[in-house]
Amino acid sequence: MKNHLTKAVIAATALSIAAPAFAQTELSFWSWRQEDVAAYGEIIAAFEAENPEISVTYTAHEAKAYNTILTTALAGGSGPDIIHTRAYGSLENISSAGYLEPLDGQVDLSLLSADELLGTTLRADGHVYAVPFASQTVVVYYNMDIFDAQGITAPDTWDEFLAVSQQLKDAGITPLANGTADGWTVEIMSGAFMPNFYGSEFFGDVTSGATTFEDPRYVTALGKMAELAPFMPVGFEGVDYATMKALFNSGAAAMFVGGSWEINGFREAGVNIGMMPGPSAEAGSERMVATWMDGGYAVNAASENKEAALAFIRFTATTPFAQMLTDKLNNIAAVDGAMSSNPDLQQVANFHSAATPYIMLVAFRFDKPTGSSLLQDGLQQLMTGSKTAEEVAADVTAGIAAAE
Amino acid sequence: MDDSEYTRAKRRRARNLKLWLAFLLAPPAAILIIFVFLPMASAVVYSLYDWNGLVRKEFIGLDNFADILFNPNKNVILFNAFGNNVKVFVTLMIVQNGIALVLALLLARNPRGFRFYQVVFFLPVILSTVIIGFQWKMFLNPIFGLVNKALHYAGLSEWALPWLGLPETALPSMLLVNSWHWFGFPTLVFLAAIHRIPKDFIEAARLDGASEWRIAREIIWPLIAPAVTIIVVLTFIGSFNWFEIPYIMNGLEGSPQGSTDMLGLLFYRTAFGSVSAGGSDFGSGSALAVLMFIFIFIFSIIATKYLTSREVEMS
Repeated sequence: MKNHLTKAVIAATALSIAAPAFAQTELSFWSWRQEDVAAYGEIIAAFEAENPEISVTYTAHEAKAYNTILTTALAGGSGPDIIHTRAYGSLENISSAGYLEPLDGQVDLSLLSADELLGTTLRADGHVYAVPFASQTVVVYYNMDIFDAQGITAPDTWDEFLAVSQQLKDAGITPLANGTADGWTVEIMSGAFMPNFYGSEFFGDVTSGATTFEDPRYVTALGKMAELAPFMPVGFEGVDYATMKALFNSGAAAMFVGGSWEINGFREAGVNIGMMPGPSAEAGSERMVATWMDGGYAVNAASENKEAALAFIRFTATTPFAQMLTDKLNNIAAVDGAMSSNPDLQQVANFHSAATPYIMLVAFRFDKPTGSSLLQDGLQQLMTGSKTAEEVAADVTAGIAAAE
Repeated sequence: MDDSEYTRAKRRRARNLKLWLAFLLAPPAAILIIFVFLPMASAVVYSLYDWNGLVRKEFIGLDNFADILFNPNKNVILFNAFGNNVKVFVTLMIVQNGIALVLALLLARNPRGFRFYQVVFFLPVILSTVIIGFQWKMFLNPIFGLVNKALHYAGLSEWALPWLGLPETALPSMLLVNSWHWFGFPTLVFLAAIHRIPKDFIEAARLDGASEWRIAREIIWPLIAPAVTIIVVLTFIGSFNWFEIPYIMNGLEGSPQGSTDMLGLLFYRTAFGSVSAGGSDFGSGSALAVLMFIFIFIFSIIATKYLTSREVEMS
């Protein structure tokens, strides 16, 4: 009897240890979002609660090295089951190589708009390779305390914007924190001011080939950018991203043109921020913000746990997931239906009623030289006055025509 | 023990020693083969294929080389980077090694505080390049930086420039930083070479009434030629592989407007891609790496041969 009991106990113990091991599918999930480890832990716990047979391990790599680490792993035939991908040209690099599983037909994408899916669709075959996760938006941040102290209200039009900037400058405050040392930050800056001058039609016209960047609308917009140079910090040519943030956080500069991902950092630094889209060309004309998809969730085509990975990807295309992304990460989720309790996010989401694609990232980062490299070099020269708007437009156009 | 037995024992010991040495040398040789020679060989193989991002496609022979050298859209970037590397080499030879030679000549005269100066000059060499790059990036910051602050206090506000942001000043600034980082090394090598010159050579010249300049030019300079050879070749290799300082101080794109672009940065951008500059292209990247290797290898050999031929023997 005692013998049987012992056997039973041993068997039960063995089963309890072995059972989860047999049933559980372990998925690996790679990302570049090191700052989001805790939040993804909670999101994954919610998924695992509904799918007890699957467990997901989130690994965040260093952001700058992520593309290299990921592409090297994929080229070596390994890599994670679930991949946090970037969008547009960066996604094309791995999707066109066949490393990702096409998702259309396998995942319900009905809560995503065509514009959003553009960011994760391979142009060559029209398949969707990732579920877009969040959008980014270029806005103008301003320090409300400085504006109040100077008796300034947020400007609506370009002329008001210049007048406000002059008033701040006269008061000894640097109007704009932005510099040009890091090329990408000056491209971001152009995303706030230029669309309202080149208008909502230009993106379609230039991507369809109906016009080029030498279009008078674009040249005018470049010329307007150059008018901002006097309101940037002294020595702005050498002001990099870190210095820009230090200037704005410390109250030495009153405005900062940046992406919506800056909100948390500014709030944590204790800046009393306000946000606005770039000013309109003239009173009553459109006031657009530039937006793009930041990336998506994809399945490794070589994964041995494809079904389980697809289950997780289906989960990322649902409203409950979008709600968690909004609440825990302060992202503007791509999937519809999430409501934000954060007033900052709500405000950015409201700006999307007049949005235009962030032009070079969305449409001209597929060939080399990229539109971004060309525009960044051109804007640096434009702001320092070493080239005119016409010359920059001609350089960008010639560079894009020669890109391959 | 007769003679033949003694010889045999000696031979056996020699053979054992050789086996023992071979045994000790095998692990480092294996490490070199696995981590240096095989990757080099694979870069050569990669450069002969067409790549779609990361996927190797068909064999295309030397097309990648022809593309980066003769395609007018790509070779302007290559030649710009190459020209910058040449500027780096020439400037470092004059500034970094020139200062080092002068300091070595001064230290060789055994001034008061010789040890102190020797340590101070060598100190930056032992610091990590990453730390130096970041530290000087902060010093050169147009708003918070030490350099511009000092210029303001000295009443030279109009000289306070955004050093790393202007195409005219970015590369010269980085070269000064690099010279500051490394000048202690050639100083020490030159000093050691000067110390090896027998004292009586210099004393005899002095007794004959030779000026210090003449002693430096006609006795010291020819006799430290082996040290000069080493420094020139190392500076050459370092200049054409220059990566850390420009990468840390101004990023992968060679900003502003390619004025700090180097072959090393261009290789990295081409092979691995970057957020702004686009996706990865292993084929062109590998071809560029192979070209860099061939160029540096051949010129280092020529330079070593030429410089060694002008060295004189001390007897």
